[in-house]
Amino acid sequence: MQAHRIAALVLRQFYLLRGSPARILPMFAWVCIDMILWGFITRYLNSVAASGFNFVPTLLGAVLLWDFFIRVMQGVTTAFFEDVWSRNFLNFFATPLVISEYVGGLVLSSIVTSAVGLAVMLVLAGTVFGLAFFAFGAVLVPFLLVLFLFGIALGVCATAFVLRFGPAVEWLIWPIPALISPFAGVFYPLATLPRWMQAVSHVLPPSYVFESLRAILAGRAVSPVMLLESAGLAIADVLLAGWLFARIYRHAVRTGLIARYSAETLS
Amino acid sequence: MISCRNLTRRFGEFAAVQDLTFSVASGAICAFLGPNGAGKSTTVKMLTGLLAPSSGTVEVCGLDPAAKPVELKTQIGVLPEDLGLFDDLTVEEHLLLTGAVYRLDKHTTRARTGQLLHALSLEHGRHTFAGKCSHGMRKKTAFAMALLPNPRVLFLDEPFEAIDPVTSKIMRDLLESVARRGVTVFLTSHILAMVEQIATQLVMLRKGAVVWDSPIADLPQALEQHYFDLVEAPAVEELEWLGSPRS
Repeated sequence: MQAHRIAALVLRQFYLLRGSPARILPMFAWVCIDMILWGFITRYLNSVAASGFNFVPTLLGAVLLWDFFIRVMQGVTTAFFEDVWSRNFLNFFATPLVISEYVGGLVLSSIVTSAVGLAVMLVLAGTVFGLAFFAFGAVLVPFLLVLFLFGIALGVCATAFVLRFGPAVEWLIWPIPALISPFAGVFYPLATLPRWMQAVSHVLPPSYVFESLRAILAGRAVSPVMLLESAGLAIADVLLAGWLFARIYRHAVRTGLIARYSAETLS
Repeated sequence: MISCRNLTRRFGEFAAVQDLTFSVASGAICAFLGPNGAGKSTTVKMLTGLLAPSSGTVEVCGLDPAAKPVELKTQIGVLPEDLGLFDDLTVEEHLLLTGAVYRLDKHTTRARTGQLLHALSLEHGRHTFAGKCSHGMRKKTAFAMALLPNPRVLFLDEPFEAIDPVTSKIMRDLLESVARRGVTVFLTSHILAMVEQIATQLVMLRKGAVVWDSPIADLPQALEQHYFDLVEAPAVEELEWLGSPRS
């Protein structure tokens, strides 16, 4: 694996962003809309709740973390789709670029784009709605790390899925975060879920993050075991996703499936 | 420089390429001819390591594309049929990106980029987005990307299609010039007149199998006639209703 070739892919993303404002806008437009929408919902809930419970960190904090995860995942998938849409995926591999460098480039591009989204959300939620995000303390580091790793894993898995079944299944990729969110317990404790859903939640690293977030807000200590468990799961997911992508790529080259990513399709 | 023996590629029951055996010497310009669907692009994909053969062996620059893909790809340049450009990257950005992928230092990349843009009459469009370029400019950009890393072998998939005569002449002269310096050129084309001018070797393909392989000087008749005889004879039908008075 050569760092200069990974850097070249990031350079490609930079050129694409520089050349097209339409690509820059989605980096922060959707997260802004989410922050504003949920910011006002939490304000309203604060005004009508008799208990004096502060919904801002509970709901807005959760939305911010969940949006960060979505940005990470979509950072990977969107960079891959750029190559599918422009029919360039196959052409990349006529150069010395290898598959691990390609995936590395997608991940690095995702770090940059998701960091922009996170920064915008922090500024908006903090200045407009008074979310003291950094008051959560150092525990934010493992929270963000787990969500980042899981976002990368899911993004790589999603690209492997498209690589295996063809560009037509792209529409199945976009709703993945929405499908996962009920199990991740973004807005409610896992205890609310039926037992079978809880079983699914326990293999999803974000569920530990959101349970820990609620524990902090309820004045309880965060379980280090829980954090380690979620980090372990997220790392395992990343390794599994990398293995899956490499396996599917090799299969596509061997069977000729990869030819569907060039202009001349097979008859 | 290029050799393949009994090269076969199957997609399920369909054999896109079957038992292909030929070799191309260093510095040759080999035209790989055949009708649409004959297996030309599939062969190019196997020679460039993009597709694994079902059976048979391939060697390019003394390397097996399946066993040493990265080593091979540092020594070849490829002009894909679909050009491989991004609409939102400029002509110059495409070349700078190519330099970065092949680990050329910035000074070399910039120097070669300037020279290629000049040689291909692309200087005026260096800051034009590929999406806004004419087809000829797009083709020249992709051609420049293939040349930039100074390859030992050039694979060009239909380089002369849909371009004007001037662009065509510029590309032809450049190819003849690099071939004189020992670079091997392997190209596919449907433009037989151009092939006749530039090629030193001809390989003709019909339904995935080689039907002719010789130096161009050994052709027994004009290329077009030979192609029609061996590969595909045109069936011209009279459509009597064309040109008849409308009722």
